[in-house]
Amino acid sequence: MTESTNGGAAPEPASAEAPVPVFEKPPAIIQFFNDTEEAIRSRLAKRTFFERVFQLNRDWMTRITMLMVVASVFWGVVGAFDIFGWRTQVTAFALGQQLHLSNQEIYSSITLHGIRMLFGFAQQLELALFAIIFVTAFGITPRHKWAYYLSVFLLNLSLVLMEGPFYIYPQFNDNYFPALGWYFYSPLGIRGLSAYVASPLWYFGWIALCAAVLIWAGWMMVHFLDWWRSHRGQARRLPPFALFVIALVILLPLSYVTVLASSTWDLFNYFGVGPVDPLLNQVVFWFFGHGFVYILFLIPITAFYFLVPVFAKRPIYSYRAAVAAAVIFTILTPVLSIHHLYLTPVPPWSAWLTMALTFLIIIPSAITFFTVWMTLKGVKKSEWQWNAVTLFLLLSFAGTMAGGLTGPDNNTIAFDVDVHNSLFIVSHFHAIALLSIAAGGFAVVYAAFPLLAGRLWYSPRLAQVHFVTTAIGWSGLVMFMDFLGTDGILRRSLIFPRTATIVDYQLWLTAFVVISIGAQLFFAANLVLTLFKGELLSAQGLSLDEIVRKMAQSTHPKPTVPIQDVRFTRKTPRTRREGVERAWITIVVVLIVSVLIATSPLAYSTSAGISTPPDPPAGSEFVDLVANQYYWAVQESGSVVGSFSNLIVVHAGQWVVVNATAAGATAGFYIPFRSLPTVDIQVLPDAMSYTIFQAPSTPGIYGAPDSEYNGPWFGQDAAALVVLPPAGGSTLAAFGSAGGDGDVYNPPVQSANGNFLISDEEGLFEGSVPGPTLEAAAGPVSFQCYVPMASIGVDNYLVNVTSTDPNGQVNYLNAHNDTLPYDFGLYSIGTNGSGVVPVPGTVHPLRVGTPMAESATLAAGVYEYGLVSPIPYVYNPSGESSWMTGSDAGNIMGIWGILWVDP
Amino acid sequence: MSATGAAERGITPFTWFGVAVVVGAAWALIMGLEYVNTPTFLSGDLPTILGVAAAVAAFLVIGWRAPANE
Repeated sequence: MTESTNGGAAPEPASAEAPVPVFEKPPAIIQFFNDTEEAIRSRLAKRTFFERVFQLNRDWMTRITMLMVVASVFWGVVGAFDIFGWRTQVTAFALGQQLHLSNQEIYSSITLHGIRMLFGFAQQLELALFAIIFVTAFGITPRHKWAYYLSVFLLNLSLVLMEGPFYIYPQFNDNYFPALGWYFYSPLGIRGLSAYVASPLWYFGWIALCAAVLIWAGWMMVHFLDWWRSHRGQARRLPPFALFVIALVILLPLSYVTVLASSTWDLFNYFGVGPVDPLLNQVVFWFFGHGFVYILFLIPITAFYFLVPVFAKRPIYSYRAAVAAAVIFTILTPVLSIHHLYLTPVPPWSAWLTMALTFLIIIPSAITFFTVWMTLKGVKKSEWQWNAVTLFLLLSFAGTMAGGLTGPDNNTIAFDVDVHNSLFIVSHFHAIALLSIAAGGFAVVYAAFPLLAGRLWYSPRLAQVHFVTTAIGWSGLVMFMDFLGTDGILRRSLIFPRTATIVDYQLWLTAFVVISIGAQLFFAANLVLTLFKGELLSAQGLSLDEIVRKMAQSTHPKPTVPIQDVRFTRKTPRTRREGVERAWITIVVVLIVSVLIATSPLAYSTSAGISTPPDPPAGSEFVDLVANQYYWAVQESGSVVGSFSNLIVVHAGQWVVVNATAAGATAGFYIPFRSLPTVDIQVLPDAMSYTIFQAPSTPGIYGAPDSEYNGPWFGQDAAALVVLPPAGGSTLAAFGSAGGDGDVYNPPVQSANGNFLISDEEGLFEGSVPGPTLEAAAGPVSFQCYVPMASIGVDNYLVNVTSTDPNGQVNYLNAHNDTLPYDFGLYSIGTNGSGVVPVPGTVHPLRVGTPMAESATLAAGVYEYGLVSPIPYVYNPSGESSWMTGSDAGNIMGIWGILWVDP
Repeated sequence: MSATGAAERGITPFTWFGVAVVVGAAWALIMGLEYVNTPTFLSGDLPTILGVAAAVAAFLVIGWRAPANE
């Protein structure tokens, strides 16, 4: 039996623009577009630069594909610049250096990094390459040119819209770029529901993106149906890779219709119309959010099914297994929304069901990677060439394992409590996005770009250097994200504990980001050189597979393996091969069921514990939390009674019952213990989340940062769990020796007497929130706090004068005797309903530019120092903020901490 | 096409891709084991990690023993 490598489809060369019969003359408007395009094309084609870059003398499908490639490279460069900007600020914070960007700019840079990389770069490239490979492999003459152009136009327009407005006059101001997320957690950014408001252009941008992708999917569907009709009865079976192209065409509308729904809903809410249900909106959004990741994951999957048989010169191991993988993949992908929302108060049955279904989606991946691997079995070393295509396939294979096999960890609900919203998740995502998806994407680009350019790759050496540096950069990047995540460091967090280990990890992470970006310069150089100096590609007499091998061989300095097809005759019968596949999948199913049985009890109780009130043990402390932007309003009853801002005051070992809701954007209540169970719940408006935990048995101050990004002052949004000493007091020695129960966010402990705390430009003492815990013996206590004039600027929420004038804040201070209207001083923490009470004679207005001496004679106990109430903040320079530009407001606490007085 | 004896003694692409599985999976398992000191590790995390480890072992064993793609 003889089989072709790609399953029997008969590839024909792509047709150039076919002559249009007279009776099919297009409508006048289309003719106008055609004429206009031709006029522009013919003029630009006279210039070599444009002719080469945009392939202006080729057919329209090649031209538009090149346009998309160029646009995707553009967004990729801008997206890389975004993340470079973010890392410079993170690095500066780690080193205690000056930040050069505002909080809005910093957080919007990471938002736009995600948007531009995911949709402008990766998805645009995916759509471009899948479409041209599809029409080329199927010998289809592309039609509906202007529908395709409209899709590309809307896609790129959407990115411009999502970028949001900026001012050029009277002074450049880009602080209205959206500081949201590549995702957006309703109601963050929605006018009237969130203190931080994004421009409505953001939501219009999402709707434009949906329209673009739906048009593209429709275009592909029309062409596939055309082909199917004309080949009915002739086509034996689709090539395996085409199964996944079809999966993409099905999954795109299924996924995008949900984000169209959530974006439209958000837009209505933005203008005060319609019901508001943030949790339901998030569930709807994540049907897309999850589906989209899998849409991109189809890049490496398709690359494996397309390229591995080409280079192995034999068909895939089991065609039926590939069909099964494609079908299961398509069915399960759109239904896994809730695994991104395990820590919200969703019904426990829905969380459990999603966990089970998510485990099941391992099956198509298990089939795919086993089938692809087995396809290679029997290929001799001498028959295989390690060129850039196959090297990137190898990297993608390893990267999918590294990233994909941490997926089951995230999916285990009890495990998710430890890792949710930490950099562990970001590492998992980047392992998939870079080491799996982008590596697979580079394999496709190295295999297909010469077909677009009409030239072979210019430099094999550049391709090799690109591969090596990219592999190093991406691997290091993923590794150090992982290290930070396992320590409990949050994602999107500019402000983090500046311990020696965390600072080292952050610096290494930045170094690998720089290597990753720098590595792409080798690729860019090769790309440009190929366009202008590459050897012309001659495909005369070659099959599609031979053309692919020829293009890939041009990335090898001394290719030794012939590109010609070889006749393949089956020796191993199908039943044996499928028997092996069945054995493998049976084991996978048994393991999935076993893991599900073992993890379900804790998964169910964890989910139920978030959505239903707990049964409190006797003596529990009851804590009502309201998440504001950007502080926690705390109301306590039990052995401690009182109202606090950002303080949760409990006794050692006491059970703490938390009822939490949000008054603005979604927040997260997070105490990343490592020697106690991690506390981690998502807190939403119009919903109540619950948790119960046992306070540490060691008195001390435990950090509780907001774990869900909720706007540009997210980093300042942190609470402290104050575990009171026993009657008569205690030192913090036990707290220190116990390592603060592993909570990396515990503020550092320093001696109080003689201390000189300096506020930085983020409005924090020594980069820590809460500020350092100061310890002193009972009796006279004296230390100084200092807010330098140099720390005052548009980034510093302390001076609530926002102006495009860089001296606006300082001018305000000069006019007000360097004094701000906020009380600053020492407060005792009352446990009997009094809240925080000023220590007599210590509270005074906050002064800037002059050290403030804090001194008092204190008894043993726990005190709070600094600004103990949130400061109202509004960003509105020169009246520029409006419903159209967006706005930034909130209540912020930053320069505060705990003073611990020993007996 | 005939290959030299020396070339045929080298590592095949099947083996290289198997090594890729081992390296990638080892990394994922090590990252999961980073949480070994958390109190919920045994009941919450370990079953999943063991499941992944067993699947990787089965992947390699079955693949190694399976008939070639010929």
